[in-house]
Amino acid sequence: MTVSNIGTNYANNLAIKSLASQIADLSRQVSTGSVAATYADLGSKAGTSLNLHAQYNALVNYVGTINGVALKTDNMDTSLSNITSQIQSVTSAMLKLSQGGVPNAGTMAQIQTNAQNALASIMASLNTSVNGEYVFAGNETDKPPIADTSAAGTNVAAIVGTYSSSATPAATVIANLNAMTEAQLGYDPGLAAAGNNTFQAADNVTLNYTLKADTSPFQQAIKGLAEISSLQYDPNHPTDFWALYNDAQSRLTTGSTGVTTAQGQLGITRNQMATLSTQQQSTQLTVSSSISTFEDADLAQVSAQLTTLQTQQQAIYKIISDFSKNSLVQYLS
Amino acid sequence: MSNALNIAVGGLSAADKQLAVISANVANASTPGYTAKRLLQTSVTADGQAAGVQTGGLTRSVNLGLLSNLWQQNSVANAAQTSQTYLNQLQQTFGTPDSATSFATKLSTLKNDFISLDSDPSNNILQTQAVNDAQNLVSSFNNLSQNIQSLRNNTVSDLSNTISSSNQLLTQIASLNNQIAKLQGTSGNIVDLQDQRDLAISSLSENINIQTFNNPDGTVNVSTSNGTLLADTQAQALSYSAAPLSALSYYPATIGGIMLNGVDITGQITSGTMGGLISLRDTDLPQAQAMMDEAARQLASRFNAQNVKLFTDASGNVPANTPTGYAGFSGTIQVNSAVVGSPALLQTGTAGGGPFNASDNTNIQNVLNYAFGANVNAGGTPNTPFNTTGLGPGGTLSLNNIPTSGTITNFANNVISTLAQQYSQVKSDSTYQTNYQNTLQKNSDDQGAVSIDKEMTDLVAIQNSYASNARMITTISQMFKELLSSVSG
Repeated sequence: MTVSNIGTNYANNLAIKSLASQIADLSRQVSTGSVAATYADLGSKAGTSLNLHAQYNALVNYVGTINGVALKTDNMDTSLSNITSQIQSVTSAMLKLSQGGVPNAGTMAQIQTNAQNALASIMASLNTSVNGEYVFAGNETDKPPIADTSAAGTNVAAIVGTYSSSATPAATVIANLNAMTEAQLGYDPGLAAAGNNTFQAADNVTLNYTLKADTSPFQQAIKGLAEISSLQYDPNHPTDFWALYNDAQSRLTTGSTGVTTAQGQLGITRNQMATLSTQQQSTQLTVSSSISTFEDADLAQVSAQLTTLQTQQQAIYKIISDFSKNSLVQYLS
Repeated sequence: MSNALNIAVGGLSAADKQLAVISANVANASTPGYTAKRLLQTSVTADGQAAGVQTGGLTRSVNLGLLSNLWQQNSVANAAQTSQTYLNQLQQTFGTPDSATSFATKLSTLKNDFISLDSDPSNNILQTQAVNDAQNLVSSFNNLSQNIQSLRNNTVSDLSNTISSSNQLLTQIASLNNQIAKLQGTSGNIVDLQDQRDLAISSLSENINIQTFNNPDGTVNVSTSNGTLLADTQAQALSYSAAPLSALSYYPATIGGIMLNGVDITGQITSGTMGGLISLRDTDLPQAQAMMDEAARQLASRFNAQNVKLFTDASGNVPANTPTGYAGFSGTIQVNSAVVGSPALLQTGTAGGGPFNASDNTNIQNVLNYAFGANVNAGGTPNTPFNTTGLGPGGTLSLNNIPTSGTITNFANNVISTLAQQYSQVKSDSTYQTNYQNTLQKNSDDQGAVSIDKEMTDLVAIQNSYASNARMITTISQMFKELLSSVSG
């Protein structure tokens, strides 16, 4: 037995205090499931923990942002498919009309009806909005890119009509059509200067999904459809009629090809978004797992430690109890 | 026979006194500071013949070297414990790792708001959300600054109380020195007074780092580690003006020193509770404040550089890059009232310009790429470096282990992890120093404290001695009877 009763009891009291503190901490770990109550409890891992949490939250946010933008790009893709389909339906119909001579009036009327409907449909598609944002307006999303949907039809018709009314040669009419301003086609005055649609899809990755309604393929398609819609056969200028007919067909073909190309480019961006979204969701799991490794208590291990410490505590109580008996005072009579 | 009888009677007397000492030891076994006493006992001879036993004064079993080490360790351990207590409270204010309450997490949340705004910059709900999260972030800065200053003010009141307690102990030591000096060289009992003085010195050593010198007259000089006398037979009084502190208060310009006879001895107090409190008040907590101030100013400055003055001081300005000028800024930083009134300014910028299209995200992207990035522009020019020296109201503070370049979010993470690691080290140091203190305390107790077993063993020996001396007297008495009987017979 140690000579000093005071010294021994002091040491035992400290041991009990230390054990009680450890048991309290382990109990907290069991109840909260977390290793640390403060950043200091994580020691040198505190900085890593903060970075991982920030990374995790950013990943969640990036995925949410991508999903939000995907809603717009999905609608853009649907609109582009519709535009292509509308153009192709008119060009297919136009192929049915025999070139040269007097056009079949019924076929011509059908083509023009199709073209008018297609023009209206394309205008509507280009003015598509998602949650109040016009997706083909660049960053001027609060304004429909085609402010006046009837302007193109009216103004193109006026130019096309001159081949008949004032015997303007077809080449001049075509040149005049080419020289039409965006205002004449009904576009919003701010559209030309509107900026791009970009967003941050991941750390240091900015994606651009801009496709404005005033890009060349759309203008060609609009002009082509308006041109064929307003083209009336003038027996006095049959050559000019067919030149303009072919010009309209050419514009629609160019427009269709261009829209398909634009859709393909948008598709690349959409694929990038999908890939980034998948990657980031996968990274989320990894980061979450890492956070869990740092911060989550291993309940099996903690429970085992608790049992060990409780046994030690009982042993110390037993020793203290024995100390009180193990004194010479007990044996003197 | 007469001589033998006197010797036996002397033995009984000595045993009686020894019993009294044992009794006192057992009775005081649990008295704080009490050490086991022993009665000096020597044999008496006259003309080469045994003449009996005599008892002298009381002695105590104390290892003065060990005691001196214990007092030094008391100071070191108490300073570490004080630091641990305070820095633990500071740690609590940063929140738990699995919650989103730390200012670094709130900064990340604000960044996420801008990521969301980037794809939908004119969305009023997202803009308002970003302003709300900016206000949450600002509240976090303000609360942390307030907590740091609150802790500093607690050090002031604790310091005041500790000084008051130290003055009482110094008075007690001086008084005991006087009593001991008067009794020194007499038959008076000074050992109990020495115990009380050691206890007072031990308590004092927990408050302040001291050194002691034993004088020939039995008194002890207590002085600071630099030798400034605190008490001999006269106690010197420490004084301190405990005025409330603000983030701009610092020693020695606007915080008074700890004075002793008109001399500032603050610099001599390096450990003990007082040393720990001074270090917390003047270094540890101001460094934490300086970190927060630096983070707050850089946050305001980096946003402002991107045409989004989201954070300002109370006057609506972004502080200049003069460290002493923005001391305490984390306590006053606020969200620009213009942006609170019109969250759309996050998109259009606070310096005007435009016109802006509905989805123009130029400013939002600049904030994301440059205010939250390492560079101030696309050209790769770094943002203004973080100041890590010349900080605080006096320009005297430095931050260690914090990079001067990088993003604001990394800086915030570094602040928290640096303070967390600082606390871990302090906690570890406190545990080590306290364990060492306990070991010294236990060794000292083992050496000087009352052992009941030892006292009981001595009791048995004294009882036997008493019985033997009584037996001697009985025997001598019998011999006298025999002698008288033979003479009369």
